[in-house]
Amino acid sequence: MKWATSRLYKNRKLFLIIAGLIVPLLLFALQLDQKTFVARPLQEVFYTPFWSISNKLTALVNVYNDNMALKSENVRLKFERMTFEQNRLEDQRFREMLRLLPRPDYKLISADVIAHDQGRRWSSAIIRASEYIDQFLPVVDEKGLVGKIASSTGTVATVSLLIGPNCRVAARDNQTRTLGIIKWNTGRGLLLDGVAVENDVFPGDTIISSGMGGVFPEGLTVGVVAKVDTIPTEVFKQVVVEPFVDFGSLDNVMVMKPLSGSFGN
Amino acid sequence: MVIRIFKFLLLAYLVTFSQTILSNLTSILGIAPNFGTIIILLIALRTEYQVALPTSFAVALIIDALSPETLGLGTAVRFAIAVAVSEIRQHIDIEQLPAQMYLLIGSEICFQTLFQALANSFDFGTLSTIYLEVSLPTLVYTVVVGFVVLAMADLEFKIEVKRRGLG
Repeated sequence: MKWATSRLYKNRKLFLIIAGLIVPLLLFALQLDQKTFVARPLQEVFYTPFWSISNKLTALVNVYNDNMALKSENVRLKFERMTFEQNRLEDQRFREMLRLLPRPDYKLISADVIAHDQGRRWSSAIIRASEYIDQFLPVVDEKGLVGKIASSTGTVATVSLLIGPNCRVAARDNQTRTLGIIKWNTGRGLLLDGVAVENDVFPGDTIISSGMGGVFPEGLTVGVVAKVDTIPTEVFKQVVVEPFVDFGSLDNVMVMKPLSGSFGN
Repeated sequence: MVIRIFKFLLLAYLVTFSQTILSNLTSILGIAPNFGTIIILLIALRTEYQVALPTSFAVALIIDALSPETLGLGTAVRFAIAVAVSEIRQHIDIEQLPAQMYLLIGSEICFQTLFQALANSFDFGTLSTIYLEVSLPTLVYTVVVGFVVLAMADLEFKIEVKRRGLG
C-alpha cells in the first residue's frame, strides 16, 4: 500500500494528465440525458445568474431597438396622417366645387396653384392642371370666380385674378338683376362699374357673372355688395364688392372647359 | 484553503461571465471570440502545473456544461492544451508577448481542429464548411481579442516586475 502511494505521488503529474483526459472522454461517451444530468448542477450554480442578467440585457437592447423602430414608425405615420389630412381637405374642396358648379356643358379640370407672379401677388397666379388647358378659360374655386387663363403652355398656365387689373367680368346683381362690369378697385376689393344711378343695387346683394361677353358663363358667384355710394355729379354709382374667393389662400382650383366649340376667344 | 476556493469561484464566475454576457456583447454576425482558450492559456502560463492542471480541468468542465451534447469533449481538448502549454512553459522561455501569441494561435487551431473533428465524427464534408464558416472567423477573432488580453497581462507583469525591482 505504501509502495503504491509512493509510486502515485512520484507520478502525480502523469496521474493528473491521464485522469484529466480519461474522465472527460468518459463523460463524452455518456447518453445525452446522463450528460444533461451532470451538466445541470454546474449550469444551476455557475450559469443561471448570468443567464438571467443576459436575458435582461438582451431585453433591454430589444426595448431600445423597438423604441427606435416605433419612433421611426411614428414619424412615418404622422407624415402619412398629414398627407391624408391634406388629401381630405383637397377632396372636400373639390366636392364643394362640383356641388357649386353642376354645369353639364363644361368640363371641370382640376388644377393646383403652384406660384404667384413675383411682384404681382394679387394680380396673377400660376396653376398646373391635370390636363391641357387653353387661354381665356374661366377659373373658379369652391367659393366662386377666381379669374381667367391669361396664357397657357399646356398644363401650366397663368391666371389673371379677379382682383387684378387684367380681369373684367360682365356681372349682375342677383337680387335686382342690375347689370355692370366687375373690375379691380386698386387693390381694395372690386368695383361693380357701369351701374346707373337710377338702377337698384343694395349692400348685401350677391353679384354673379351675367354670361355676357362670352368668357365667363352665367351664374358664377363673384362677391357681395359691401357699399353703394351715389355721387350727385356722377352718372354711375360707386358699388364696392367684396369677393367671395379668398385670394390669399388659393390652393386648388377648377378650370372650366366648354365641351363643344371654342368659347371666349 | 478558503482563499483558494474563493479565488477559484471568482475565476469560475469570470469564465461563465465570458461565456454568456461577454460572448453576447462581443458577438459579430454570430461569431464570438473563444474566451475559453484565452482563459485556459492564461491559467497555464501564469500558474505551476500542480495548480494549472486541476484548475484548467475544472474551468474546461464548467465551459462544457453550457452545451451538454458535447460535454467532456471540450474539457478533454482544453485540458490537453493546458497540459501542452504547461509542458512548453517548463522547457521554453515564453515570457515574451510574441511567443504567447504563437501559443494562442496554436492552441486555438488545435482546439478548433480536434473539437470540430471529434464532435462531427470526422465527417470531412461538414467539417470543411464548419471550418470555413465558424472555426476560421472564430480563430481570427480569438487571436485579436487574445492579443489585447495577453498584452494587458504582459503590461501588468512588467509593472509588477518593475515595482518589485526585479527587472
